[in-house]
Amino acid sequence: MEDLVQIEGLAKRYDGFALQDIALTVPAGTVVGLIGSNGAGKTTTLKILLGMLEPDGGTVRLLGRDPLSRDIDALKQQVGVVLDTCSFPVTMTVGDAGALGRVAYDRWDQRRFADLCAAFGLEQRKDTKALSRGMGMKLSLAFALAHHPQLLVLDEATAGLDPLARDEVLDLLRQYMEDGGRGILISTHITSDLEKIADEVACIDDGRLVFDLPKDAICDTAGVARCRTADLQAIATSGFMAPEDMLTLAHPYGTDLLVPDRFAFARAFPAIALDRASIEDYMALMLKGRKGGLR
Amino acid sequence: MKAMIASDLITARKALLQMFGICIFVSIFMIWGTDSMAAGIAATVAMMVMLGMLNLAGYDEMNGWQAFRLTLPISRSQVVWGRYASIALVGIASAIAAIALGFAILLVAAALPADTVPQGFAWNAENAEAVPAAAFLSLFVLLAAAALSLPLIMRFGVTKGTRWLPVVIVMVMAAGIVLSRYLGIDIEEVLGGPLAALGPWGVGALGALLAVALYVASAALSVRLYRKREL
Repeated sequence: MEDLVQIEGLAKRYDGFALQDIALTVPAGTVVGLIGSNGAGKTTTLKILLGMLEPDGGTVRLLGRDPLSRDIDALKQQVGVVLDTCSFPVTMTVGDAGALGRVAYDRWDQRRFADLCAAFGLEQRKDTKALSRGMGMKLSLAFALAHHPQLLVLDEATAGLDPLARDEVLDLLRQYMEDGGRGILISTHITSDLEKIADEVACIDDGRLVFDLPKDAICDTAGVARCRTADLQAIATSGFMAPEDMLTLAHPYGTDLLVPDRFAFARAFPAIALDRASIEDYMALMLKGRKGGLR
Repeated sequence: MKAMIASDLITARKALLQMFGICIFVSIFMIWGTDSMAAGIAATVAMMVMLGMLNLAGYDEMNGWQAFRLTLPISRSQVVWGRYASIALVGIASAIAAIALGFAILLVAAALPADTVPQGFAWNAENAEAVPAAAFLSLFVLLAAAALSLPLIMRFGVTKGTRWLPVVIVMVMAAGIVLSRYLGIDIEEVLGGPLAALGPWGVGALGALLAVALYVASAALSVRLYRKREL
């Protein structure tokens, strides 16, 4: 399958922050979630991908082209973007955003925009400055979807939406993905959204890629064992996992251990409580977990 | 570029209409206060161009609009050329509106008893000629001023750019004075004769040509500067 986004060895340096050796792909037909703590480098990665920032190193391909090429405007006809705020000027109305889309995009679908606005409860005459954060994000989404882009790049697009509205948006994204040639790269802190729609999850921390895995490897295969100290000792001495590979996170009631294959672990240690790993559990253990469970 | 111009005009439409309403009052007060039709008309165009430029630059920096606009099918080069075109369009529209306003004022004044109308509002050949002349002269002076301001605004944004603007203007003026002294050139002596030969309309046309050339050169410089700007 063709990759809609290809990032290799991406580097960008600022005072006090460096993005290093980021590699990421978004194959057609795939939803890739980008997670990580605040300031980890997610938005910088997306901005470089969209040609807003120039990288210091590495290669970036957006729909097969360099996003810094001078004829980038033609390429952007096929990309829909939602940034972390409703970015339309406060003087614009919802209808004005539609008018701008009509001029900017060759494949702008005014009926689709109007339908999405109606579904989201956005009145065409309403000023964007009068929209709440959630309604503003809905307008941004309607704008991003109304030209039938091949790739959607979403930066915290569901932030500020109530749970029902988030589900509505996720349904819309699933519907968008029914055309197999499309893809979504979504950066979010709401990892439960990714559990519902992502195919791959990549995590960036302190400017580095920590993991990039199929969602099923996290949510279906991996697990979190709820251990006591004696359990950890038993696991470490059993040879099931090398002690230096054991990632643990202590809390007042015990210690969580990240288990890459929970089915194999359950067979080996049937007496130890074991849960499926959520993306949040996995990320917390990967970012904050201590390596070498017993030390 | 069409999308960029549309984006600017949609963004600034309300503000421009409000500003024009304000300009009508300011213009009438200026004509009344200075007793000069030309001053009021020139001020209208000047205010519209400067406020239009600063308003557009200000909206760029609100809500991340400038960064989001780059995600639309608009290249950086189109952003710059589009912005220059938008300001020129605002200037031309303001000049036309100011001329219409000037003649409207003159017509209203003509309908009033002659002894109640101040000289600046009076319907006469001098004032009728001053209206278009002041509008277009003001337009070209303001385009030249925009040509100096816009590269700084495009490179640093409106907040930082306007902070640097007075420094650049003073430096350019000082450099000109120092250079003419150093080379022993008396500008009045060198230019006085040819300008007198051109006559007022010729000088106006030459000034317009120079302002447009400066404006285009400024746009080309801004494209280079804006390409380097990280948003």
